[in-house]
Amino acid sequence: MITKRNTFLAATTLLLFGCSDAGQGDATFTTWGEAYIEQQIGPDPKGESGFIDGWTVKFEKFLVTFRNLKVASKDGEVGATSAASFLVDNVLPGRKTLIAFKSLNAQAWNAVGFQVAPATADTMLVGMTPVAERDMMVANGYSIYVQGRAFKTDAAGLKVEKTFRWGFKTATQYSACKQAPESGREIEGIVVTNGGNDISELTTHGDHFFYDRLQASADPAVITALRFDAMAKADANADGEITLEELSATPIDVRNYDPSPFEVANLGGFVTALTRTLGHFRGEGECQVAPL
Amino acid sequence: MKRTLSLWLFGLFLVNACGGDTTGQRVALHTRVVMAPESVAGFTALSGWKIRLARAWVATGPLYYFDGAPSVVFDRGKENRRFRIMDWVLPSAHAHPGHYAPGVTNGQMLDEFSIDLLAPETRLPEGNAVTGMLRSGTFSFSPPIGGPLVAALGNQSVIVQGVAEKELVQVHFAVSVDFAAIARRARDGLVSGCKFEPTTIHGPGTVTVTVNPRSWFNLVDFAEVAPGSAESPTVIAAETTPYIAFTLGLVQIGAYRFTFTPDTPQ
Repeated sequence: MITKRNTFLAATTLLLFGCSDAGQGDATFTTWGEAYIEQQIGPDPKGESGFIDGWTVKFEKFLVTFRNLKVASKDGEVGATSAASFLVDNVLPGRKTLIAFKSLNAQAWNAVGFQVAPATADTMLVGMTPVAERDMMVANGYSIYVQGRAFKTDAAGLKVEKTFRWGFKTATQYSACKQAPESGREIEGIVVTNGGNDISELTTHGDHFFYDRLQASADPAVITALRFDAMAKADANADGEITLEELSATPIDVRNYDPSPFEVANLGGFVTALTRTLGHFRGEGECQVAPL
Repeated sequence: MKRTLSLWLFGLFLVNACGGDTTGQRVALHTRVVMAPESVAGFTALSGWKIRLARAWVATGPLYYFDGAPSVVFDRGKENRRFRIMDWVLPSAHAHPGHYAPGVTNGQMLDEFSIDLLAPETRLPEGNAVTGMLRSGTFSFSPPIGGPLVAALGNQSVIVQGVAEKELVQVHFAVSVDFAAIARRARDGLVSGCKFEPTTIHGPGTVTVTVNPRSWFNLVDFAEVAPGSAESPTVIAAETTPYIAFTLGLVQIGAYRFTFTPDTPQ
């Protein structure tokens, strides 16, 4: 039902734009959270595919609000836009369709972008995302909300578990999205073919919340690792839940965390800054990012 | 490496300088460095320590000015995360969104120099530019090679001394950082993606680099530094936590801001 409504909106928008001798095709945008969000992020002592400090994180909710999808070209031609916003819980399995733009001119559209911004009352629910989640997002002004638990077995053999419920109000513009070469070849934006349906995934990366640096190290030998020990220790009242307030009261441990080149002094600011890195294009593809 | 970068940037510079429209005409730039006025009399860092500096010497390297927007978010770097859980499905592991895209190099000052940040201002060697837009800049450190403080700096790129106060604790400190330590935090000592107050250059003028040392100290907790005295400040030893925090602070883009003032009103 939502898809039909989205399609209607897209078709309405497309009436503004003309046809092409090369024919027409469709462009569909989906979203997915990959296995890290659907299943869990496990430990990896080498720090290459999981937490370097032994933790496992399992998300229970991973709510993201997308809006203002735009298909255009660098010379200013707009193929399709949608001002609608969509709330999705990417813990729910599989790729979820956000919108299908119908009958675009068949050509390369090399300026594709979207926003992650706070939900509003008219935000549409994608897939099985419950209405109550939208109400919660709107009431708090959230664009992103994650809930989950982290657990590890400590040195004494005891299982330690922490929970978290973090909401963020950051609004971010992602533009000039590119498919990564590793996904076949680097493509700026999308290519709509005559009679075809180009499908683009707006991928969300859940592991980014736990990065230990905001920018790659100058030393290629220093990897960006996933860490949770410092967050676990931030649970000042030891009630088992790590709040954003507790993270914000915890200074960055410069031996493990590097905020360069940005002025972030505590873990709350660090995690909030990382929310601007969640959005990707077709897996590992990247976009230019700017705060809204 | 820095030479290689300079040549590459200069190549871009020449390409841009050959444009035939109203942009791309070569102009001379004066360059000056000042401390942020709000920090001259002392400042309170994010760490809560109030700091007054008694010495702030810096060996500077080339400066570059670009038409791209300043850095706002992050660059994981393709070589630094070698594997994601989905790599076997979607071969991946590469760059992050939002990394700094400098765009076209429209100006530069290529000489190494050394500055006393507590001086009212320091004039650097002449730079040059092509007419066009500037929105971001690269500040850089260098080994002590040029300028009046080469001998005083010895083999250090930064020497800072001062007093930090928090509640009833007072710490007299001194810290020195060599170029290698900085380069471990910022490749080739380059702090890229700094804000250049947006401007379009139409003719010669002066680039002012405003350095705010507050950013250098935002992560430094002096609680574990011995009090010292004005005559004998505590030297913050290399690789201690305060030292690491200070070196991280040196490469924060918020510490360096660029502005342009035309010689004649535009």
